[in-house]
Amino acid sequence: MNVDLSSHNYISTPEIDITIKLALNLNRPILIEGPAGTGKTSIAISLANALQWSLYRIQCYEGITVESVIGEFDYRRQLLHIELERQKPHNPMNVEMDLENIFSRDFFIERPLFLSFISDQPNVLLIDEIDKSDEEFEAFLLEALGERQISIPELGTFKADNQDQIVILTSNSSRDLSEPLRRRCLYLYVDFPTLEREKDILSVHTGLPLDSPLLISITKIVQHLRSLDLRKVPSIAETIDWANSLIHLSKTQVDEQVLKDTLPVLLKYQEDLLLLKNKHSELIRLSKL
Amino acid sequence: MSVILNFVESLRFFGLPISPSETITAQQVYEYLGAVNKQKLHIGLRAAILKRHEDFTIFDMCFNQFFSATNLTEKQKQPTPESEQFLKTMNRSTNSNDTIIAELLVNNQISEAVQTAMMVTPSGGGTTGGLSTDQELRDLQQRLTRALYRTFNLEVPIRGLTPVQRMEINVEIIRIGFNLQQLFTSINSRIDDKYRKNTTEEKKVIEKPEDLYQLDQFLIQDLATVSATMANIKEHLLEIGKKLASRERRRRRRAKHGKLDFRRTIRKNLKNNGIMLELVQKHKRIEDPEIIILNDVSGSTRWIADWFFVICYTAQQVYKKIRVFEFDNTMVEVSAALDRKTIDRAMKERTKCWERPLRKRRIHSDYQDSLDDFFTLIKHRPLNKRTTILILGDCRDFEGMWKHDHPISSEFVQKMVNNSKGVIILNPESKPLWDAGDSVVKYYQQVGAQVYHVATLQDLLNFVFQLNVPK
Repeated sequence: MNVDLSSHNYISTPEIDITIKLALNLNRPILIEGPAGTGKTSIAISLANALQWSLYRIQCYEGITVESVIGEFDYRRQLLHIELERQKPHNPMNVEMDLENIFSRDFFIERPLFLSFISDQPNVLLIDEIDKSDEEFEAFLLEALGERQISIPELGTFKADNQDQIVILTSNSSRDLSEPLRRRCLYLYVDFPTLEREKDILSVHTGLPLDSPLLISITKIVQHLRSLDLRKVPSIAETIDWANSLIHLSKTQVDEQVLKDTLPVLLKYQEDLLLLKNKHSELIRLSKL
Repeated sequence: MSVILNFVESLRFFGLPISPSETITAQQVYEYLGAVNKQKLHIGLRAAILKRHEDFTIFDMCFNQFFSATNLTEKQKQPTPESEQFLKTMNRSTNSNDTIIAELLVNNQISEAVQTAMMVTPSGGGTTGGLSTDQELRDLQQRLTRALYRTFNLEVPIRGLTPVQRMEINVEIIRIGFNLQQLFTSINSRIDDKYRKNTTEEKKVIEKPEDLYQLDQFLIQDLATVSATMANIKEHLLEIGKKLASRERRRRRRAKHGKLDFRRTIRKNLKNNGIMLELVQKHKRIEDPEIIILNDVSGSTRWIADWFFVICYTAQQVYKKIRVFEFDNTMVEVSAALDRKTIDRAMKERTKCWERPLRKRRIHSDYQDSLDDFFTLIKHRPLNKRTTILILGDCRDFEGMWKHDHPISSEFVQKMVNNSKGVIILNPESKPLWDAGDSVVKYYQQVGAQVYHVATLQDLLNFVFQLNVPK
């Protein structure tokens, strides 16, 4: 199966293309690591769009529970159902039947992981920022990813028979993930883009032609900033924001004054701005090389 | 399957932990992608086998060596006249002396091998008690290396064979090369110890390979006897720190749950017709502790200061409000370095923080001036009763002044004690040395500081990670 991410505004690399191809053919999840703002989440979104598959997204955070990704029983509906049953003429069998009924899927609120696993439709399951979740949650995912099944005591085990499913996990490495989880996935590292790739990305997202002086200056400056020891280097999203800001200000090239005025769009820490305080002219000079 | 098995085996030689399931996936990738397009195979195998970005370099090196013969034309696969000639030359040049020396080396008879090498070479003959210059020592090591290479025909596959021939015996090259590398290290260090005694140049310190440092051993080893370099234990410390941090985070989360809140539980379960399906626990409000760490980087404690900085770097995962200062005769704040993404960049930033100290540096410890500077640095965010101060230092106030019968620095320590939750001093010096010479431990204890002896890295880690944590 060939996937063309570029048709959905994602400028891919051979690494990304081949890993996705392998994941689809070998039915393996992909673990994507890399610095923040390098387009890890966008891979999953663009892939779902490119394949025209549904996207189920789980945004991880500290304290996320299994219930919030698989689902839970709806107590209120269960109670209402019992009350309704009580109104009916007395039948000793009713109570026993109710117990079976109220723990059926009719009373179960289904959440993304469960929905993705039982779906007949092809889908992409994105488990975003897995490193933000706790170890308990990660341990639970082992069964889901390794055996491609989830177990709910009251309902049984659900196996994902759908072959057209791809699971993508992303991580910023704020916490080291466990070896068993890593072992179950194909590994993809997405770093900041090269100069050429960044030009393509900017061109796609801003509409600037590839040979535009503005686009060339922006990419060269950003690439140089990433080589400096800054507290936070500019991400791709920030670069696009900067380019759009300059277009909005009707600038056709970056000069010293423009750089000085708009640098806060790229750099988000005062100490980084101070570090570059007297280096604007040098940055402009480098962008013209 | 043999290609992938051999490739995986060579990766394991370089310390990459590859499980059988990863080998199976790699085989599936190999079957699916084939070996025709080397770039695709490279990316595919890397995705299947590796799980960490840090291992990419080793993988790329092994891959390029192992699969270098793919994509060659038939003409390129034929032996060249140069390679044939080289083979003949190499075979001729292997003589019986080389074989004898190599066998002695492999059998760990280093002295005998050295003697033989000296006897058979005119320039080295006759020297038996030791080598007079470093040049002679290097010559000797080269002679031994050459003998090993010639005997095992290592240079032949490396330089003489065609890429196809090379690929066939690639695993052997990697295996022998790896073993020999270890053997050379051991031989060279032993030759250094034994024969360098008469040389004029300073003895070169040969670092032990990283894997010799077992995690458990150096954690409980006396700090004074740990000889590992920063590079060797940095990763281990970060690894332990991460584990401890996640344990402490879990414990803090559990500690936030209090007793059952009856009123809120009843209210919450009204929707369930009063049936207690959902329990609500009282939520304990736990203030994030404010930690200030002062790290003594003067000559006497410099050896442990770097390790402590790594621990502080990892401790951020548990404590959100952490400030780190370093001092010798002046104090600087290095908290900004903790924001860096990697420990190496943090270390670099930490050095930068020392570029503009409040006073001129004299390297020797001066607790009086340093603590005076500390209060200047924190004047915008003064101490409060939630702040715990942790000082790593030997309390040797070498240049500090005295007033009447106590060091002036103890007045600053008292000020810290009065204005904070507590002052804990971790002293790496052994207890019998306390209060001897310029050590002022008892004066700090008298004004309320708690002084503990930290004998091992484990002690240090425990102090930092269990600080202020409700049990």
